[in-house]
Amino acid sequence: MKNTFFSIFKIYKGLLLIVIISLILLYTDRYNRNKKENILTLDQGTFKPSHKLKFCLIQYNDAPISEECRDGIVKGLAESGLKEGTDYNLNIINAQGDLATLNNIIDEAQSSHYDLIFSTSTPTLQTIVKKIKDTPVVFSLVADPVVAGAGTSFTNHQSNITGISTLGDYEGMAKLLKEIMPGAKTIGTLYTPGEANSVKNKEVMEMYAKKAGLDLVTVPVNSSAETMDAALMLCTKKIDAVCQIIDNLTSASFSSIQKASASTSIPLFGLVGDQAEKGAIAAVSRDYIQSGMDAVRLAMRILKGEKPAAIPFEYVSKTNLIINRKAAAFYKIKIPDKVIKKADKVIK
Amino acid sequence: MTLLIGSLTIGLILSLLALGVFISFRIFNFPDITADGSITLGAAVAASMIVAGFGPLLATVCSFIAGFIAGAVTGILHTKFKINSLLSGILVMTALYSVNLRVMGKSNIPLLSQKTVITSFESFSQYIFSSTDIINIAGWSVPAKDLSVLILTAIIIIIFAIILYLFLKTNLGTAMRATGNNAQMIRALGVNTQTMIILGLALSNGLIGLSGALFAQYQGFADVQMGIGMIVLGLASVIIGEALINEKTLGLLITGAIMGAVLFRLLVAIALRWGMNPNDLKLITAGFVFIALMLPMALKRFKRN
Repeated sequence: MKNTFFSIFKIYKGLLLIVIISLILLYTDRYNRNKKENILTLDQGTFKPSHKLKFCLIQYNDAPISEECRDGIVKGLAESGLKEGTDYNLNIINAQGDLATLNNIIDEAQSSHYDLIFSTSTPTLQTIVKKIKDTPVVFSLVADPVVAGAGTSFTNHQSNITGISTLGDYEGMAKLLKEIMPGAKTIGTLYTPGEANSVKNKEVMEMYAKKAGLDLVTVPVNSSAETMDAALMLCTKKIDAVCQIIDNLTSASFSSIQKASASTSIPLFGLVGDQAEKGAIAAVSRDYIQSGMDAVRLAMRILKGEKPAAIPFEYVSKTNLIINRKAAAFYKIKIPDKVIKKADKVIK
Repeated sequence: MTLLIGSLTIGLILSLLALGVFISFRIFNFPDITADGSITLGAAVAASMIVAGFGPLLATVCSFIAGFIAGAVTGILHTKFKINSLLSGILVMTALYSVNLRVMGKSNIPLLSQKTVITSFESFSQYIFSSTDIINIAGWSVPAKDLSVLILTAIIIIIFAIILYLFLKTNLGTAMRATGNNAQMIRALGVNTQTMIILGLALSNGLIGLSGALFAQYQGFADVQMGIGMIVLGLASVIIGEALINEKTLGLLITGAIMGAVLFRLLVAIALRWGMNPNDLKLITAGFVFIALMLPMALKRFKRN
């Protein structure tokens, strides 16, 4: 019994370390003590902030589209008339796909009293919805902010949050498909059940395909190693074209899908910009750089005094149509001239 | 201050994970990777039950049971089918990915307007701090809700730690510990070591499932990919804890695992606070674990000189 009692003292090292680190953390947070709310006033005419603005961009993981969106935000801020370093600072934080760290990051953002927080991707928005109630937040790169819990509709949402939905242009895709392949009846896509956005995208694609008189056949895929097999299986399901919806897994392993569709000569379409370069006949792609710039545009409205609650969520303002003529020739598909005229970019 | 409270709370919630890993990794010497799957399983079960209208407490208890079953399966694969320990963990972890998708029906369940264990912790603040919403601690204004979540989580973790300690001191618990230490000896005493391993892994994953359930309720959603890398986190906590304690008594090791988990989150918070390059985060995390592994050895050498 005596031993047990004295052994209590042996944890002192650990406790001491915890206390010391907590104190260091508090020390770095000392500016928030007795902090009076820093009320932001902007000179409307020249748009000069009353103090140096602190922005923060929180990202969940490293993926090509989140990098494009980040570049868009940086570019948008640079073009906003504010000067980096004198008018504002942008702090970019990335959780590298770790949800526990994401929680840490968002606590840190909450206690750092940023003037405005940008966020990309759905898990980030979900954690923000839970934890940040007063700092204005502008999100981007979220397929469906309503499902993520940011509000009940695009106009009725949490009062400090607004942003840009990057739901793919499935309506445009379905229409384009009918224009290029009027005889098509059935299309197919792979989807990733493990990604919320993938499931959502599949449903939306299904809806617009049905409107255009197309049936959608889907095959689930769970890892990039399975993509090739799954794509081959999809191509043998009597489909007229593969029209790949957007998600992280399939956009990373699109080349496997391309190989499968090339070996079975099933025409391939995509919804991410670089997929046309990777062998799709056409890609109807949201402009992810634009999605970052759109987020900055909303942020500027907030900085100029509008309440985030009054700003509805928006879709990305720009969609690109990219056509790959070489791929079209390979699949023996004739692309109508009016489609080529509409294209933002044609790869020869 | 918000950052500190958040880190402490997550650290405490994940200390259940650390305790689970401690049981499998240290008591049974069993590198159990099931953790990556069972933490998500706990979150999935809790979230889908809460959304379906069950009480949050019942949902949390069920997530413990779900983790318990998952761990038992790993144990059965290893003992009855003689599958290598690492491999049986991998098998169950892989299978759990599909199970988790089945349980949730989709890949992500938000819990924003639902009543959860954590929201009832929040509403408890009115009993602790009467009706003040914001509390002033040495100049920082802190939401009473967050503080009450931290306090109640701490109390619950302490209760769990004591229960675990007392359990491992019973005859059954002692037999379990002996199985990990010296299987031959304990078999000679007439204990079925296979049952002990199955039970131990079940208990370990039950705790991990519980940790997942609390974590999902704390962050407000369950996601099918949330378990990725959790085993590393749990191991890191256990190892940091051991480095701190430097002693092999059961009670101290349990306390060490909890302190390790809390310390790990605090270190991550500091790294974030000091504004290091976001791309280096994982590298720094690995650095922490490396230091924790090397520190005891270095200290010993230092003392000898």
